[in-house]
Amino acid sequence: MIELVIAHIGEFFSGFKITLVIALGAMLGGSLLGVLTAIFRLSRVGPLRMLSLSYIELIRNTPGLVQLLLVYLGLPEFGIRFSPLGATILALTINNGAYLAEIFRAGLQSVPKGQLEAAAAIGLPRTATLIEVVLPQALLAIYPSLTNQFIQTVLFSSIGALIGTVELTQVALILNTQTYRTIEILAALSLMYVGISAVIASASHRLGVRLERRYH
Amino acid sequence: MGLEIAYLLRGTQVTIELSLLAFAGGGVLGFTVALLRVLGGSDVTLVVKPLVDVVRGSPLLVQLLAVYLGSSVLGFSLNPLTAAFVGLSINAGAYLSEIIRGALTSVPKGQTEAGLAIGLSRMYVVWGIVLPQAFPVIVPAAMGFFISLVKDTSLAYVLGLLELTRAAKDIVDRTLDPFHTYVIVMLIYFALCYPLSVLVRVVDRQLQHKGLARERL
Amino acid sequence: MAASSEPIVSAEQVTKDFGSLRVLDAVTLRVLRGERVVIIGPSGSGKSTFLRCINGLEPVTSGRVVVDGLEVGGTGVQLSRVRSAVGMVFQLFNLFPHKTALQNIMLGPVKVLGLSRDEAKRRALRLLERVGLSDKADEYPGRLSGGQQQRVAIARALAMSPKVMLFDEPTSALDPELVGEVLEVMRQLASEGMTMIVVSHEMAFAADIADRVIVMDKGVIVEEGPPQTIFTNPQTVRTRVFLTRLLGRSGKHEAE
Repeated sequence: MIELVIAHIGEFFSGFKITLVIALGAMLGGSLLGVLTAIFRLSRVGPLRMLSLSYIELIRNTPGLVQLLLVYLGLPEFGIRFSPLGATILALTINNGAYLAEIFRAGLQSVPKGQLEAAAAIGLPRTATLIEVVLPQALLAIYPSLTNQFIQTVLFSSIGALIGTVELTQVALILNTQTYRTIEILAALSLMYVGISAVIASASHRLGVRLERRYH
Repeated sequence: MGLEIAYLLRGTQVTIELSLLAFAGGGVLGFTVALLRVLGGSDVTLVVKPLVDVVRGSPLLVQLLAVYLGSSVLGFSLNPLTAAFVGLSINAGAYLSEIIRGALTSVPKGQTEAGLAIGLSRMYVVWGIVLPQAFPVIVPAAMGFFISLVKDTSLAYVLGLLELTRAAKDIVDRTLDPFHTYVIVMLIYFALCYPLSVLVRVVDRQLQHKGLARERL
Repeated sequence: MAASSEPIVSAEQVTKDFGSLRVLDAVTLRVLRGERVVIIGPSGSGKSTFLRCINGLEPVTSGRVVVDGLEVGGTGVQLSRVRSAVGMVFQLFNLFPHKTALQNIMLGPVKVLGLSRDEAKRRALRLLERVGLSDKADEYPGRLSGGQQQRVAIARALAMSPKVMLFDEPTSALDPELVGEVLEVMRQLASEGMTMIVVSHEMAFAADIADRVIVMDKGVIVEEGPPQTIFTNPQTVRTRVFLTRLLGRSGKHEAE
């Protein structure tokens, strides 16, 4: 198994990079979408609340694979075409946004009311309050959930293989058709994902310990 | 159109059956693993935890392929339905075992100690005292996981199993209208999952209202 | 004392309802520039709510509040201007936990008053010195004692150069041994001529700094006057009952 991986280390590494690009893209895009959706969800404006709620419920109650196929195969009917990689990032961003929105909402709601009052008492405008006071504290409260969501996104990015995105899983599947050493390849592939998950989890844990020490 | 809807509904039926089967399989597996870890002590954990971590740390898609392709390499080719059932059960088992274990360990230690102190067996303490208290935590979390499972069955598409997502692909190949087909398929999944989501919220609120639920996992 | 005759805070007929519950019932209070007012009263008397109406944290149901010529209410810029003219110190400090003491104090001057970071920093350091915490500038609130946190919170409010300072039970969440340091800072502030409205149960402190003590109960002002009169010769039964209960409690506390 090891010599097989070493013999094809270049392909695996380029697959790994694409997997990271998808996961990071979907986390960043999803976070923007998620924060916005969470703010809408807590807004006093009814239609905004409805819009964000519909998006969250629709995405969370349907499979990511179908969302991906809809983006990749369905949108071209309207002349909107994506490369497999582009479609994968877009679909996972939309998917992630709905899950992240709920995480961010929990984070926003975890900030004590007194913090908002203290900001109001010094006359801080709403946007500054959100950026300076609320979001940093919300992030601190939810970073374990964000870590978990990041790991889930890395794992889920493997569905990109089903539309031909050459990420880590697709690299392995291609290699399988060339070598037929199925068990070794899939075992190695699994371990790579396990390794990535473990690295993310431990990096996050270390950061958490540092933050904890800093603020308490 | 009518033909296609009928075809999708047949796929839906397979999706539901596979979800229920895998939930049952994963439930049995998850329960066993959780009890082994809680009762078995550190040497069992030493063996079982890495297995759980590997399943939770790698993609379901890869696991499904490993079961399906692996079984044929090893010479006992599983059919797509069996492979999907096995793969999803293993995956669900790992996640459910963590849900159940987390719930069991969330019950205060004093409960176990009190049970042991009056001479009950360890097995009975877990079964008769700890588990009932863990139940309000397990139920909503496991229901939530079932929703994930329904969505996850769509990955069995890759094995060629004729569930809902595969049925959609067949129709798309024939009608060349992916947009409408996938929108309809999304709505079918939504119709399956959304009521369950609402139910989870209701159950969760009720349990919390009764003061039974401890901190969510 | 040093109070001029011009009111800087004037609350007229302030009424506040929470749903069907009337928390404030036509409360009128005028506070003069440089005056120190201490509000006492049983919990649920509406004194904290009244304080929060003065800087618009609670919108009034009816009546009006004017601070330094600005009507409290409305939204956006107007409200922000009023609030930066009114400093508020909370019972639970409400420092921003992710910012150091220095950053907590600098936030308002930079973001609201538009000071440069350098200028805001100089101002913040001066204020930290004033509350006796120069050495804690780079500490996060989680590493400060309650008393230290409350002193930072006072500095944060002062950084806006407020015309009035509101104190909402500033010592009631503190361990008894930490109360003194906060009251000391407040005393110093009073001696410098700051206009202060303080909700507090610290009778000795009230007697010491207050020009006027207001007694509230069930959403109305039941009595007001100089501290000597209120504490030694209360005119209403409600004040008497409240003071007796308060003294009884603190007596018991000391006996423990």
